[in-house]
Parts: sequence; C-alpha cells; structure tokens
Amino acid sequence: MKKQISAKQRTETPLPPLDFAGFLRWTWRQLTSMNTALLLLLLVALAAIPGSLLPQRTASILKVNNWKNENPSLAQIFDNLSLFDVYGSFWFSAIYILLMISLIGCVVPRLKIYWQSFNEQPQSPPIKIERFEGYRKIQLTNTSLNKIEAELKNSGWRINREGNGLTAEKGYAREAGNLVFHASMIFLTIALALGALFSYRGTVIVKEGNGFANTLTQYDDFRAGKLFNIESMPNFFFTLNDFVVEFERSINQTGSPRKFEADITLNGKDDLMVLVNKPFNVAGTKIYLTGHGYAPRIEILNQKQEIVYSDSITFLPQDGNFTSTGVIKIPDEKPQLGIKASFLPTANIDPMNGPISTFPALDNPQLFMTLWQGDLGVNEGIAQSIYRLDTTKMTELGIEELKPGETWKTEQGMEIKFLGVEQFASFQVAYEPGRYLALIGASLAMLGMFFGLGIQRRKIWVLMPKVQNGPSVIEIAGLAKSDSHDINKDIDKVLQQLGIIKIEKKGNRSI
Amino acid sequence: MSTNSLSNLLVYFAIFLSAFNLILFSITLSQSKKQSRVSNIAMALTWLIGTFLAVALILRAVAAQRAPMGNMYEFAVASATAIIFAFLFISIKKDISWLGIFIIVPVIILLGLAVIVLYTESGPLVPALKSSWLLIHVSSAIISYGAFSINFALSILYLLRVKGKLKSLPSPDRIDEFSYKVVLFAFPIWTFAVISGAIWAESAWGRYWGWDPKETWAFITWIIYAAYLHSRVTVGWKGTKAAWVSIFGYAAIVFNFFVINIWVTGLHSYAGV
Repeated sequence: MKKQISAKQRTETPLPPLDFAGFLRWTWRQLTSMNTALLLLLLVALAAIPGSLLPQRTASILKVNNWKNENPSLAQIFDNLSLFDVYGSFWFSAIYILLMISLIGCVVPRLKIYWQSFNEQPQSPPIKIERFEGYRKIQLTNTSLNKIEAELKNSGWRINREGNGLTAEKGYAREAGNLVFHASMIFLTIALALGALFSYRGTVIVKEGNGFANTLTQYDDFRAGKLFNIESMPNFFFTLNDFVVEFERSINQTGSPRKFEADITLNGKDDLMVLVNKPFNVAGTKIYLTGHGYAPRIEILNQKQEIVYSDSITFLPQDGNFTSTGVIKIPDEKPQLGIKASFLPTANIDPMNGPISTFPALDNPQLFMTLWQGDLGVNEGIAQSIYRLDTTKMTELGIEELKPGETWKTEQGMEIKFLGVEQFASFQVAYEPGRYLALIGASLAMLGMFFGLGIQRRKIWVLMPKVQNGPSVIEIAGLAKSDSHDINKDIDKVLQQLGIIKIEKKGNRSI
Repeated sequence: MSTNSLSNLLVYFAIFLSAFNLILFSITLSQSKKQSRVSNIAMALTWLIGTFLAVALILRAVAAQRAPMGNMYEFAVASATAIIFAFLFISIKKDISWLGIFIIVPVIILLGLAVIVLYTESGPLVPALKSSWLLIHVSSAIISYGAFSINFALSILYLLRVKGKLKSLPSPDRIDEFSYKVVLFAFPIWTFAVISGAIWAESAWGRYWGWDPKETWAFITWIIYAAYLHSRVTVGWKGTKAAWVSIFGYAAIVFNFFVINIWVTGLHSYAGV
C-alpha cells in the first residue's frame, strides 16, 4: 500500500535536527508518539503469528526436532531466526521492549499533567456560550448561581466560579483509569519477565509402580529461569501406585477421554489422587497431571541366550487413539542392536495406511517391531534422543508383530519377548513465583480499563447575567472531550436536579 | 423425542427462520422509510430466532448435564446466539433493523457450519474441561465474540458508506461512532476472557501463559482491538484505517475459531471438534 502523507502530517514530523541532543529529543518524540505506539502494537501482533504456526521449544522440543527433520532445508535458517523460540527471540523482545518504552514515554508526562490538573481550577467560562453543544437559555424565578454551584458540587462536579458564570468539570477518573491501565500493563510485563527469570518447569514421565524425586537428573525435560537457584528446589518424592484412564465407548465421541486419575504416594506417607485440573502443591511447586501413555515390557535375549535387555519402555502417543512409537537401544552388544517399534492398543489393519490403532484402550494390543544391527551412533558424544533411532549406519534384520506373551525368535537366534503392557503418566512440575504479581497487574489493568473506557471527561458552563428587574435568566451549554459522548444528557440531568425541567423519555431511536 | 434431538430441531428451525428473515431484512434495507411494517416483522422474527437458539442451548445443557460449551458445535451455536442477542439488546434502544442483514448472514453461515461440519452428539466433558472456569472463561469469550461480530458488520458498512454506497443508511460518522461503542463494550469482556483463561491455565497446566496457539491468537486479537481503540484518537488513523484495524481484529477471531481449533494442535484441541 502506498503511504500518503498529507501536507499537515509532513509538518508534524520534521526531519531530525543535526546536533546530537536534538536528534535524541527527536527520536524520543517519535518513539513516544501515538503513531509509533500504534505501529508497534500491530507489529507485536504480527510478530506473534509465526510462533502459533511453527512448533515452539517452550512447548515441545520433540515437535521442534520432528519438524526440523521433516524440513531439513529450512531448519537451519528458521533456527537462526529463532523461529522455534519466537517469544524469547531477540526480535520479539526488541518489539515489546520498544512498545514498553513508548508506553512509559506516554504515561509519565501524562501522569505529571494529571497530577497538576488536581491543583488547577477548571478554566474560566467563556463569555459567550451559545455556539456550544446543548445550549439552552432558561427564564427562572427563584434560583441563584450559589444554589446551582452547591447543587453541582454535590453531584461531584469540580467548579470554577467567576463572576456571573461558572465552569463545572467532571470525569477525571477517565484519565486516572487510563493511567492505571497503562501502568498496570508495564507492571504485568515486568511480572512476566521476573516470573520467567525465577521460575522452573519440568516434565517427567513416571511408569506405574515407579517413582520420582525432585532432583534435576530425574527430569525428562527441565527449564529454569536464569536467576533460579537449583538448590532451592523443594525436596519431595512420590510413587505412582496406579493410573486409571477411561474412554468413551458409545458411538458418540467414541475414544474421547472420560477419566484420568493418578493415585500417588507423596514422600512415602501421604496418599493423593491427582486429576487433570487438580494439581498438588509442595512448598509453592505445583505438580500437574498432563498426559499418559503405554509402556510395553520387553525382554531381549541374544544368541547366547543371555538377557541383554529387560524393561518397560515409554512409547510416545502419536494420535488420539494412542498409536505410539518407541525405541530400544542396546549399545553394549557387539554389534549394537536397536529396535524401532509401534505399539497399538487396539490394532486394526487399515488397507490404505497399514496397521493403526482404532481405540485408545487396550482392546487388542499389538507391537510392530523392526530390528536393526550396526552402529547406534551413541559413542560420538552427541546427546541423542531416547525416542529416536538413527539407522544410517545400521542394517535391518527383520520385522515382526507380537501380542502380549508372544516371543519373536529371530533368524539370528535372538529372542524378543513382549511380556505385557504397563501405563505411564506424565507430570508437569512447575514453580511460577510471578503468578500473583501478574494477576494483580491484570486485575488492575481491568479496573483501569473500566474507568478509562467507561467514563467521559466533560464540562458544562452556566452563565447567569445580572438582570435588573423581571425574572432571571440562565444560559447553559457544555462540551465533552470525546465526541462519542452526548453532553445533552448531562445538561438534562443537571437541569432536572435543579428542578428546572423534567426529563421525558425521548423517542430518539436512530443511532 | 429426546431433549437432544429437540435441541437439534430448534437449531434447524432457527436456520430456516434466519433464511426467511434474510429476505425481510433485504426488503427493509431497500426501503427508505424507517420502522416499516416489514422491519417490525423482521425484528420480531429475530427475537423468535434468538429464543429458539437459547432454548436449544438450554436443552443441550440439560441433555449433557453441564454448560453447553464443551465442543466446537456447542461453541458455534452459542456464538451465533450471542451475535443475535447482542443485536437484539441494542435494538431495544436504537432502531438498527438496517443492520439486520449483516447480522443474519454470518449467523446463517455459522449455524450452517455448526450443523454440517462441526456437529457432535451431546456427551460428557473430556477431563481437561471439567472445571468451574469453563463457564466463566467460555461464556465471556462468546459474549465478546457476539459484540465483535456486530462491530465487524459495522466496520464493513462504514467502509461501504464512505465510498458513497448504501445512502439510505446512517452517515459514516454515526456508524463509526456506534461501531466504537460496541468495541467499548466488547473489549473489557474479551480482556476478562483472556485473564480468566490464564487463571484456568495456571490451575490446569501449571502456567498462566504458555503461548499455546489458541492463547497466542487470543493475544493477537486483544492487541489488534487495543490498537483499534488507540487508532480512533490518532490523527491519520481515524476513520477508514481504524475500520480496517477492527476488520483485522475480527479476522484474528475467525482464524482462532476455525483454523487454530481444527488444523493446529495445541492444548486447546479437544475431542468432538
């Protein structure tokens, strides 16, 4: 779109002066202008978009890695642009910090002006007011300006009386509301930042019968703010005794989860039931139930009939019916062994897509495996995901599908036993010290917004010229600062209070 | 007949009546006379549509024994109801029958999508939604969506009016003023919806703000409408540009409602789309 600049605007934004101080002043004025604030607001909105469409590290590192593997050509470029970490990126921060500065630059001078306005009287009434909105001239018999002044004061108008006239002003709370709102937004942003610096959050997968102790090494994924002191993490441990999950079995919404319950024992003594939406709290750290899945138990015997592996492995759910994938690595065998597997709780063969799970519960559990031999690539010192098998230096030995209790005897003489299926629950452990500050900030912002948007700044003038004989006359008119407010309503109300008119419901139904 | 199928029937009736009302509102728009008999009938019919939809929602709630906000079908019907009632409540004070056609068209589209694409039988909630925040968070979002829809219709009308079209309607300045007042109402409610969502997120997921796609778009919507409110007091933005800003705000709402819910997986993706 071509930007059109009118002559008026051009004069409003002159070129920056050449000396340094002048240039700083010019920059500051530009930055704190409403135009810039508007552009920055729209820019923040625009900059937030990529983070909603691309996977983010803060939500799931796994999804980011999957995306990068699927789009290798873009991965590096996107990574350099922080597109997988948009909300912590330098450019996103730059925009909102500029917005904050612009906000401060706008609020501080207004705060000063507002403060001064309390010590100032409203301006004197103009000599002639008939040009103004809602002008009325009324003949009266028994009233005086004193009486009108007292009446107006009673209903909260600030008054400046001068001679035969007065100015009454109202709606100061509007600016107060605006200032509180904007200051609260600054406060909220600071609370968010502090929260991020001092918080920690981790996820952990716990299999039924296993436990978790709150130390760094036990986490599957752990993130802490830069100022968080690891030693201040509270000491606790819990065991997952039982995990209950139920799914909808009727045709309607079939497979939808209906119940998740994790039965845990905290610190070896307290039995607790953790539900979704119902975390438990240990010294400010909250523990949430966030997900669940299956962990097939597998035993592997090598050619010499030695047990080289016996454990249950967590499989990550890939869809709503818990088609899950998992990996087993046996680095101590020579050559090394690896298994890539899919677990289907209710296996069905789809003619198009092959085996898929059609229900999330264990109705017909089956394990589909591919056995690999070669170099796992784990000795290169690069951290590897436990959910990914790098088969570039491996050869496939065979594929097989098993039901619980079945054994696969490979051509090479190995035995792979599918012993059974266990469940796991995933928990999020979170400590967010800034949350109450953020809530206070948000609540104050709401409060400020109500006043800032709901109240109108307006003034009315009352003139009462001296009349020698005959009935006295008052002239009344007003002005609202924003044109969306109808000052007539205020004038009517005042006149009604003074007992001069009676308001009838007017039938003006046009907008 | 079960309460559930009665509820469905009422939604179908509402669509049928809305289609008929579309004709009446078009006649109203082409007439120069205000408050004609046709427009009175159209408004009465709109009240009937609103009642049908409200009863349909109540029946749905009775059938499932919970707030009718557990899946996208219910959310769409509730939003359409909110649009209708936002229109009706304003119509008590002001004659806005000329706006009717611009309200009834999106309502028909929304209800049509609800019954054809989004329909889910009434059922219990998924565990993640079992919280008292559901009613507070979702109903405030729905009410503000209803009002923002009116604002959207008005912004489009404003742009048409500025171009010199639809001369029988109120002046552009009046429409702009009215449109602004609608946002003055909707914006604080939307703010509340976002804050209550953050409180719920804190109690359900362990963080009050996590840039989940749905949260991100709620934020984008909020920012755009905040920009709209500022644009009205800024020289060079008032009028046409401000109207465009509010149209972008509505685009963000629609994107959040359809695209994010259906195509992007996040924590807000639930069963029974």
